[in-house]
Amino acid sequence: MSEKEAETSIKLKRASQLLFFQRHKKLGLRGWELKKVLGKDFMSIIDLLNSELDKLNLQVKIVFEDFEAIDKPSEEQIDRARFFITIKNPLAVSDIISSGWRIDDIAALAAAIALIISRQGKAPKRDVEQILREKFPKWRVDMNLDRFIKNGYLSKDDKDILYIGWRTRAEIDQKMLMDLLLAK
Amino acid sequence: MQRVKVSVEDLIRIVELCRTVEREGIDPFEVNVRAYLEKLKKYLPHWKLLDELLLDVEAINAISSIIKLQSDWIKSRSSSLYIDPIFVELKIRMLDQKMIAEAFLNSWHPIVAIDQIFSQKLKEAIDYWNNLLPLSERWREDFSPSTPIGTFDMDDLIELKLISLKDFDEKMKRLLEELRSKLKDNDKIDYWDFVCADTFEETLERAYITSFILTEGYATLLIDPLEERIFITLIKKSRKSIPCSLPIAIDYENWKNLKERKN
Repeated sequence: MSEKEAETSIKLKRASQLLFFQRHKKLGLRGWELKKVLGKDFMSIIDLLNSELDKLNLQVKIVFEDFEAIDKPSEEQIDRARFFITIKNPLAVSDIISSGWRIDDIAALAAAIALIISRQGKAPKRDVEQILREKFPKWRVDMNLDRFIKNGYLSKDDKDILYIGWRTRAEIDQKMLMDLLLAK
Repeated sequence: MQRVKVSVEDLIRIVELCRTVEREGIDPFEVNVRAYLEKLKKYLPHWKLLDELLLDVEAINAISSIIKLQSDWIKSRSSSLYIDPIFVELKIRMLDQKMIAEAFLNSWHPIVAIDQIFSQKLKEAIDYWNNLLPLSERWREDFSPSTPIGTFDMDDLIELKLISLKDFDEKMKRLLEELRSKLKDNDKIDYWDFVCADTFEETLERAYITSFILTEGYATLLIDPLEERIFITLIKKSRKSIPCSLPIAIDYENWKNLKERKN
């Protein structure tokens, strides 16, 4: 193994450690944090890691600060973007159920996110509650919304307006969700 | 000539309406911008008091926010992600839970992370635990009767040589000069614009020294309750006014926001 290959291999392991191991409540790392550890050319290591993760149905997901998909991001945009490792292809229902999610909790989350997306990314909490309460008891709606906010799927401001949370940006293909919901 | 019936309540109503639309994500095209602007134009010559004029400015500001929302609304509607909210609500109501969950699962790529304690950290934790004194002993040390609880004032700090009176006077003089030079062309300056500095520590120091400048009577604060802004203005000649205290809180987050706004 050449010196360069050995160095790349070390950096690859370091990148996977950095991205897999949870440091803060908010997961993932900023581009500049990766750059600090892996060097200026860290994106080539990320590409390499991505191809390795692909074999395990995993991928490196990059969420840019303004939340828009960018074809050719600038260095600054990459520095400020957040990097996560996510499952690549969707999971089976049985996998989700065994991981502790109830099917009605998932439906409530999907409905809340779809409603907020359709309203340009924000909706009063009472409007979301009103729709969810048509299908779920009040205590379950309250419990679920609190849980979604705590987990970062939704966020709420001091005026009780709900927004799309950081985890939704990282984990959910919003366009596909809307397409699939409307196609049903 | 027909007399126009004007009331400040109309202005407040316009501001409130615009803010509600902004806050709750209501269709901004529901606001009749043209009609409100014409109303403001018609009312403007009747405003005489400063508060009325400030309210008029706030109304203009609120209407311009609505125009920005309208622009964002059009951009969103022309994007590929736009779907009529009413249609989405209808779909959510119609579909059963299983169908909604299925759609979600096909678009969901959960984050994968490992949450683990390493043996090294575990060892550090055990060492920490072994060296930690029982709570009763720690409390005895922290709150022993030999160290009565009290407060420090300026004299104590000077006595402890933490600050020197000369240094402090110098700093106060310098800041007062800076304030005077900034108020050469203007009557007043925004409090936060004045105290905000490059670092949080410096900002705290400026705020602290500014409080002495105000207490010594070199300058005073003007408060605009409508815009929730505080200004500093110099006192040119002594006025008879009732002295009062005004607590101004400053924390790191507050300072960070100020810095971002300033940049």
